[in-house]
Amino acid sequence: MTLPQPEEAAHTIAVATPGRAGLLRRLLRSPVAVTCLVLLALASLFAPLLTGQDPAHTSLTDSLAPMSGQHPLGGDGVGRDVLARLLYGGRTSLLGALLAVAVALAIGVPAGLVAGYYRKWFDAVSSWLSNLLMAVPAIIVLLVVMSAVGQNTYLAMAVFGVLMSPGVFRLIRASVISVREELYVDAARVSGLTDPRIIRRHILPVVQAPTIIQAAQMLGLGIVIQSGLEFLGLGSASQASWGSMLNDAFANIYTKPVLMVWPGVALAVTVAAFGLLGNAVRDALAGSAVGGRRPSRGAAGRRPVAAKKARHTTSVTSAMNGMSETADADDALLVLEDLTVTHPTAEGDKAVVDGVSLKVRRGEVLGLVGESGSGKSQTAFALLGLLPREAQVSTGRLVFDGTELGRLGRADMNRYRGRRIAYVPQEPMSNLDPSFRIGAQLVEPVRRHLGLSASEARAKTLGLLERVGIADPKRVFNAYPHQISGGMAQRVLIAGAVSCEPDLLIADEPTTALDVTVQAEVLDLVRSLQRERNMGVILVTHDFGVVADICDRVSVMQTGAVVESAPVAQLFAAPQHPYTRMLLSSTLEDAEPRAALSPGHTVPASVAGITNTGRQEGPA
Amino acid sequence: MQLLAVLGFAVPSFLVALVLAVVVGVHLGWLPATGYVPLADSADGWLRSITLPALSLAVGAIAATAQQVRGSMVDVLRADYIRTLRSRGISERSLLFRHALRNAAPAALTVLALQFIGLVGGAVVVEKVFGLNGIGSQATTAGSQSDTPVVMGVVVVMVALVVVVNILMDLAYGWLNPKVRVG
Repeated sequence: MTLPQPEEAAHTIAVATPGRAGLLRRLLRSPVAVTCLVLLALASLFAPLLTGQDPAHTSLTDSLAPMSGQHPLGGDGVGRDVLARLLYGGRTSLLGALLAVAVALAIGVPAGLVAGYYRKWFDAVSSWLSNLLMAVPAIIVLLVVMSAVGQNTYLAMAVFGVLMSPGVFRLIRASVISVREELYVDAARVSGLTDPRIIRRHILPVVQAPTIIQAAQMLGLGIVIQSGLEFLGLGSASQASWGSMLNDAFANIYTKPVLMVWPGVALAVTVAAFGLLGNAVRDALAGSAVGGRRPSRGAAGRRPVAAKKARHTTSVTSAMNGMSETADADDALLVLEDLTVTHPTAEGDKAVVDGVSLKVRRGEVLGLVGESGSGKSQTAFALLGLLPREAQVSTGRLVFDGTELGRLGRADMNRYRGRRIAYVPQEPMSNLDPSFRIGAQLVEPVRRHLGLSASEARAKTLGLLERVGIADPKRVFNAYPHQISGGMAQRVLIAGAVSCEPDLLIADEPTTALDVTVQAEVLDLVRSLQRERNMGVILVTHDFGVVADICDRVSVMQTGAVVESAPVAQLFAAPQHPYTRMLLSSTLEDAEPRAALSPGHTVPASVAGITNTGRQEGPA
Repeated sequence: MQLLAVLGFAVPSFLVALVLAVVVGVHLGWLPATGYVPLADSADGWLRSITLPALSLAVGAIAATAQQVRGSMVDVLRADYIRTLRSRGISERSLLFRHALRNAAPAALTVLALQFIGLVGGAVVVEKVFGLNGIGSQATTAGSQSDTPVVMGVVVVMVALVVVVNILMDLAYGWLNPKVRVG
């Protein structure tokens, strides 16, 4: 189980399609924004009922009039009623913004759909046009339009809608392109659905959510631009608006600054409410997307409150736990007792590791075996203190070389991580920092832990790269991660893990992501380093071939618990637990466990997974 | 913090400008509310006259950039390589400021480039508030008088500015992200 990648996370959000009802319910959880907007809409709609005053009626006697029964908020510079202008101004602002957004959507959505779905020349032309439009400051274009056509607020807003349409276009196009690559869309196409039908059934629901977010933000932006124009005196002169109110207030800034408060507050509240609304929609969607696709990881980041629920005490001991050994041996390098890891999810807390106990002796290779989702990786991360913050971890005991790690603070733990306990990840390419040269990434921990000088650390790192079988260490040292192959990246990661001569190496499926031939070499490297340095190793894997090849002892995990622990030979010869037997039979069929490993032995294709690693026995 | 960012992001820069002009300029009288002092006349006066306009323009951009950096930091900190770096025991400070921030920077840069276009537009209005005689107020005057040639000239200058800024951003992007470097 790996953490979501940034691209993947963005993708997840784009692909999420929660039900409409769910979305509405979530929105109502941010009542401030919704209430403000509803009140505003009602006030503008019923403006004639709320005030008897004409917003355009000027009366010199009421110029800068104080608040009174007749003018609840006083009069402005030319004696117009401030309240009436505020209410009618809301109409102008909302209608103008709605007009702009409607135009933007009317242009952007169809163009984005067509460009994203059919690509080709239409995509090229429309993308070019949209980039062009985006490079021009909107307010300047509006000035041009005003100077050419005359001052009309609604016309300006329609033009502004055109100017905002590239934003919609790009969003829709990007979402469509990402869904288009999804397998279910391919399936729909293969099964002969027509394009319009595919767009309606599969594409539109996906783009709907991001479009709503964008629309909310555009409404706010529309109001800002509109009031900006009116403030400059470029709106329809006869219409009441917040921008022109600000203009009037600005003219009277020394005599009656309070005039600025009303339109200012109205404007700020409205725009902020649209912004909050957009954020609320995004958070709601992101939450449901993560929760829907990854139940075990859940909407955890977004619901820290749920995570705070006390689960510390509920370390349930599994029924089969008696099978794992007690920590009495003196040569134990690492003793873990009763580890429980709980992740908060939308459906409540879920234990992914439930009462796991392990023991590793110095120089011993322990295999941690199980299907995906059995909690192997989570156990490995817990040992290193690398679980995400929302995970709840409780351990009965976690003793490494005589020190109780469970009680160490972050800084103290950092003296063990990398120095005494090291980690080799599963995916080589995503585990190197893409922005730094490989050499820099390897040198940093060496200098920190061993206190070497820059040149000493460099020499040591180059030696390590050579040791892990990299032909041209200098080139790799100066390369960026994207310039090397996956197999090489995994060697680099192994070099990084052993760079400070750790006592315990935790390798999380170090060969799964690699080519078959490279797998064998990497495994061989791990084994030779282990022997050379007498390291304890915890090897997380789902491959019994790897286990047979390299491990001394095995712990089999199922649904978060260790169901069986035994020396390798004993486990292969006489598996005790039904789950172990099932795993073994699915891998080995009826073959003798070690038979497949003898060099030159021909084996059926079904045990090919073992021969990959077994083949190395000969030359090694 | 989130709310502050939303407010800063949402509230138009000219409103910020108005509030600053009234409160700091008129009521407190700390800085001039209007007018511009050329740098050649007085460095001190120039700085004083330019502070409030610059501040009002920056608020929105600061909020937008902060939000973007926050978002991409959240993503980057979830990445596998951050976990692996952490497994090597490097300090939390180096993790955050060296590795995570460096990887989050390109996204922030993209926002900055877009912000610049918005800032140019915002300047048009802010200049009016502070009585600055810039390219923006020239455009406004020309626009309200239907002086099309002047408006066209302003458009050309601004688009050229935007293009130059975008080229600079692309160069910076290549410097930050080794994958897009050529050669």
